[in-house]
Amino acid sequence: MKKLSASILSLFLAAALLFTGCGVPAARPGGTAVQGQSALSAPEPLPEYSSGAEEDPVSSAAPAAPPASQAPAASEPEESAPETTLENLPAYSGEPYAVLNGNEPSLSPADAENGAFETYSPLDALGRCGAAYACVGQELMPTEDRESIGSVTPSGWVNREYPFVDGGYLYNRCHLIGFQLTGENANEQNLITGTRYLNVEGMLPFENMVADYVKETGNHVLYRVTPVFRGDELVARGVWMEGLSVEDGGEGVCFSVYAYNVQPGVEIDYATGENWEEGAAGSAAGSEAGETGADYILNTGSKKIHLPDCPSVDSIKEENKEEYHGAPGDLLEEGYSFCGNCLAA
Amino acid sequence: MEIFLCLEDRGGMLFHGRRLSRDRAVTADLLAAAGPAGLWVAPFSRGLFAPGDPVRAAEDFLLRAGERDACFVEDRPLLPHLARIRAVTVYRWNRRYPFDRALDLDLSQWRLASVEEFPGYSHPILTKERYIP
Repeated sequence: MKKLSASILSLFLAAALLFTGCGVPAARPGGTAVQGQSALSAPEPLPEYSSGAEEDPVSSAAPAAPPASQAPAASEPEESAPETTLENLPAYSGEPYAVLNGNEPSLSPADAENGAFETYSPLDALGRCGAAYACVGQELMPTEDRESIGSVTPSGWVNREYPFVDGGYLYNRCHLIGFQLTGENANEQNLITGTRYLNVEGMLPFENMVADYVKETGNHVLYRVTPVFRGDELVARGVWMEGLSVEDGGEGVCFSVYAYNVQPGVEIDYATGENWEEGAAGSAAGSEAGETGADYILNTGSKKIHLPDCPSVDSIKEENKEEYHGAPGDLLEEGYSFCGNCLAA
Repeated sequence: MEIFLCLEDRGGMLFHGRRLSRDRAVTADLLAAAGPAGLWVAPFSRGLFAPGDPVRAAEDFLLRAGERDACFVEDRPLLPHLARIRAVTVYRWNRRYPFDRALDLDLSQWRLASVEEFPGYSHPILTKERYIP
């Protein structure tokens, strides 16, 4: 089913390459701050994430999608605001996503010349996802109902319930490329720890737009979602989403946005995935997984890293038990590895 | 004139100059509603329809349209034409999409004359609402 007549698509592609409506840039903007991997076959490797994008807000950057009550009533988007990139990304300020690079994706129509494809990056040493990239067409879309994805534990998965979060739980196993686009179920290379807000408010609207376009036109859309991590943190700060329709050169679909992995009312420790209600004591003290106050529990004998609530922690000898605060990636060089139960990749 | 338009869940209409969604069931319903007199659209919208469909495209179509003409609007404000609008029919996608342009009319102040639901091609359920000023 996941096949495509490459020759037919190539004809469309030739026309699309002549079309400049979307203004597709020739290359990624320099120095992009993303955690990426070189395993993608079609695009160029993504550079290492290196700086705290949200620490350098650009207050004048316009939000991408104001709510209806504040939306510019049928007026043109602001043109005078400086272009937002991953380097000057504004801190989250109430809008689920921000337009990046003038809404121009760094996708090359040439990537679609062999037809539909989907690629996922292998997990890195911290068990984190990299970019997921697809040329979405009807031939990739699911023909069966979604299956359970609960067997996958993405990096930073420390889930909790909050009464004010839609659905109850803070985190969703968030598809990088949505199930409705490529039909991927429990693919660990396509699932990140994402807030309900990221999933529903940030990503789903763009997935919907792509899915509808593909279903209605039979055309293809190059679609890439890149999780953006800071340093060794286990939870992505957000995702960079790019889309470009192939046969019409971006006339139908063309976007480049950053969706924030935040949840209003909840504070998140992105290094660990730990979380607590905004205004609480700044840690999960007293909560199910944070009773020790430690981010992790180390077994200095077996060199295993555990979450505080891991059942294995109770069986660690006291002389081998050590609390640890901080990013666990630093421990890997010391010979530590993740517990296969509580921190399974 | 009779206005027809499509809205996502928060009133959005466009994102960076591109339509948020489409559904061939809506296109067919639009043509049926317009009848033999045909539908006025902007050049932006012409591609939604087949070449032989009774559709007239013009940049100033909202000025050209007669009192009883049907106009499908995707990409422009309606407030400047408010005095000439006899009714607004909204097709609701019942989904969320990104948008940076929203409907500039507050339909909550209008009378909801009819509501109808029907299945779409790429949307499970579309809602069609007709508002009278």
